[in-house]
Amino acid sequence: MIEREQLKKNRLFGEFSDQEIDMVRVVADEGAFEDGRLIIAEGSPGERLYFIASGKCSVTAEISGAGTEEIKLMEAGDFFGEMSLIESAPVSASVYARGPCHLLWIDRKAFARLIAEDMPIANKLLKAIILTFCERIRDTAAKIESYYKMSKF
Amino acid sequence: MEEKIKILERCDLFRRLPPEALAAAAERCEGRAAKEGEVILVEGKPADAIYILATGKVDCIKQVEEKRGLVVSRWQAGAAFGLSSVMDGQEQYVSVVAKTPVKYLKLPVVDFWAVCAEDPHYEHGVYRQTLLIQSVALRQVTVRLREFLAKIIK
Repeated sequence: MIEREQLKKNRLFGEFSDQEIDMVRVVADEGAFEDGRLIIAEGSPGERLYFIASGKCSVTAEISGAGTEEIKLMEAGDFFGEMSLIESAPVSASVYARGPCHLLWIDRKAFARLIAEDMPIANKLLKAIILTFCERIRDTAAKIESYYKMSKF
Repeated sequence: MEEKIKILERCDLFRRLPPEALAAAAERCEGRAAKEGEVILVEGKPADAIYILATGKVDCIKQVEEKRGLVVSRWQAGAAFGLSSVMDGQEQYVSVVAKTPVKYLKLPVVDFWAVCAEDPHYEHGVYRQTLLIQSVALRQVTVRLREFLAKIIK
């Protein structure tokens, strides 16, 4: 089973008690990914919420007329894959291992069960995802401003 | 009061709340209107309330130059805005401007959290809907970002 400390380091579980972390440990899984390995493919149905325990992951997207571009680099403590689990929509970007990395994950069914079965856990988890979404929306909006300026040169 | 409840029932954010929670929220809402072009929320300032659009459309505008803004998303009746700012307590990342004449409800931040605090199930329902709304907002701003990235690369 995954070590408690590994999960505690992730921003999603910062407010979790040891007992709550243990409930997550029961349903979480883990694995190592070598450099360049595709973890999630853009357009595919997302089936897992991933947490980066160590290493880095590159988020890439198909840009019209330009091919594949890296739009974000994520590191230990970050998570991804949650949008597809929440919306049941296809994955909006691909994620690759950038160097060797170690990931933890919760699959769709286990995520749904966690949220449905324990209200305090569910609310903490949802609030943490919401705060991360807020940050991502702000970052993306700020990038629009800089890209707009760059596009004028 | 009944009209306010009907507006909340149609709002994505409150869709999962039971009638008693909708009534509690409706009681705390103020009805407002804005003319076309009127600024409802200002980029760079924290939102003082959750805004629920009853009629009309609003544009979310990101300022990119001193006198130039870009529309990054557009919302219509049933939408809630000011949400990210209320959730994380930080400033608005866009201004919200009436695209057409609009009617809306304003639920002050304190009252919004008071309704959520009445029952963990209410809080849960609001969080789940917030995630769906944010997910759509994030996709919309990402699409705009990709458009500019494509322009730069070309």
